[in-house]
Amino acid sequence: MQNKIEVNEFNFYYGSFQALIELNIPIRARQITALIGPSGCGKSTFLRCLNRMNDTIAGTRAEGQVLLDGENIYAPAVDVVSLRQRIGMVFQRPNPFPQSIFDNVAYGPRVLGMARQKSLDQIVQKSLEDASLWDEVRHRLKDPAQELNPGQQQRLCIARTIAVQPEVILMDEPCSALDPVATLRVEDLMQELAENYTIVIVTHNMQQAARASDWTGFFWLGRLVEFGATKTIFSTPKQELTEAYITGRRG
Amino acid sequence: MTTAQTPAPAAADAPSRRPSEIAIEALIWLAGASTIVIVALIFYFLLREGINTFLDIPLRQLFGRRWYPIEDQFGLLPLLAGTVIVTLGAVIIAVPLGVIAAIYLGEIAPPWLREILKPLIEILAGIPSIVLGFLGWVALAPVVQRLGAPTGLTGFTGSLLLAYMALPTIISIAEDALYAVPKEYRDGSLAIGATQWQTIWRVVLPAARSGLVIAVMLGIGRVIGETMAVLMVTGNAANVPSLGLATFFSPVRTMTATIAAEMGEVAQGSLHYNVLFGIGLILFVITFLVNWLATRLVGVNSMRRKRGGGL
Repeated sequence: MQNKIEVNEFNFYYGSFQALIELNIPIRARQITALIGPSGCGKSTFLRCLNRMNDTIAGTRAEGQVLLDGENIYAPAVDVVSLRQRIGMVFQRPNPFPQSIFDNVAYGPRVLGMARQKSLDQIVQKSLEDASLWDEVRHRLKDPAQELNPGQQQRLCIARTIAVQPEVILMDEPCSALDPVATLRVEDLMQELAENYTIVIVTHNMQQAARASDWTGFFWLGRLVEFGATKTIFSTPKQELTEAYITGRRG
Repeated sequence: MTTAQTPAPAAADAPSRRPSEIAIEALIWLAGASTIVIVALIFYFLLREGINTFLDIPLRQLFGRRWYPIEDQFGLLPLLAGTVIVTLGAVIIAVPLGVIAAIYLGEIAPPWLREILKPLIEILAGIPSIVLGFLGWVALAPVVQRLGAPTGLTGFTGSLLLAYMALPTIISIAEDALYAVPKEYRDGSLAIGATQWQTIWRVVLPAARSGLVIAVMLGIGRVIGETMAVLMVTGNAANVPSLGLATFFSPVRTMTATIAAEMGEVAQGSLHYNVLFGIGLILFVITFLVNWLATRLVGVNSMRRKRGGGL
């Protein structure tokens, strides 16, 4: 099995506080990797390290390697902007821009100079179809994105992300603001997307990790306690701490 | 049911609280009502003292080019032109400068620099206009003259000075508008692979549009209403300048400056006196139009936001 991303001896600091400690994680290509752990354990911080979104926070510092297809994304020569085009991100709260549905999806292709108007229409349609939102919005593409319900908004954000054809999609608790029905739709969507994309998802929801992911990493106080196939982690974890957390005795 | 009894303690509590509640409510009502009453009164007195302007003077003369009150020539065109020229010039200078400065402050400047710049801008806002007028007269006018204008006291000098008076207003309100744009929008844009500038231009500025419009409108309001500084530096000549580059580099006189300069020496109740109030009335109407335009421009956006809910 091929690793899309490899994290080697990775440390991360907010000022003098070390948020991530000596992480070694393989992210398999075209599979879903779930990161679980209690609040403040560093899983979201880690996710934001994978596309260097933490660069926007002052006073942060990273050590070690994050290899994307074998190349360190923290190497000095790396262009952060084009890196983020390859590694897309979906956020905890749906954050469509206060623009039309069409403009939201077309945003990425436009700023990256990917398309003229004719193919732009096709990109938007394809992206919305892939995000299983097309049928719901095809007749109202000019409507403000804010008029969609939260579940639709989150799928719109996914469409916006895949419109620039990234290789990896990072999802930071993408369902925490959604109701159970909308959550299931997003999970189904993740399964479809995993055929073409490498997905890393941070979640608070044990059931979500168990049913929607292929691999699971368990974080505790900035360290990776255990990493393995989701089935193994949830049935026969090697570490006591993992078992305690999964079964709800610690957390 | 036990829940049915819960209102009882609250009701027992109410009599002790009620008088103070009523007093506070009345006070708030009074504060709100007084603003309406004051605006209405201002309008009433302007109308009472100024309406003769439009009744006694034929419109042809009123919109003529000759402002010679001593000869009973009350052509308002030079004054209107003066106000338009000075205001337009100031807006052209102040709006881009103000918005760009706000972008720098809110989006680009490192925190420590922001902490230095923001108080400085607030100090700039607090400088009395007469002091700035003095500065313009002593320092700015000679520079303008050296640029090639026949005199340093021109509409452009006034525009430049007024632009700097409007800047703090525009900057601080525009910066607030940018600050109110949720960080999630910026994150969303950056995560797609947009550059910081693309994010600002295509996401942050459009999202802050209504606030930016308010900033610009308040800036314009400040410029139109300013009196003393323009009186000092615009040359005070009630002429309609010829069109072209010379438009901005000729001495002019604004409506506000005219009122300030002539009100002291006019006989109360005379036609001249009425005309000065008439000018005030026109300024009042212009201010109303600016505000109306602002709410219209902003209204569409905020309505949409209300319907949308969301973030």
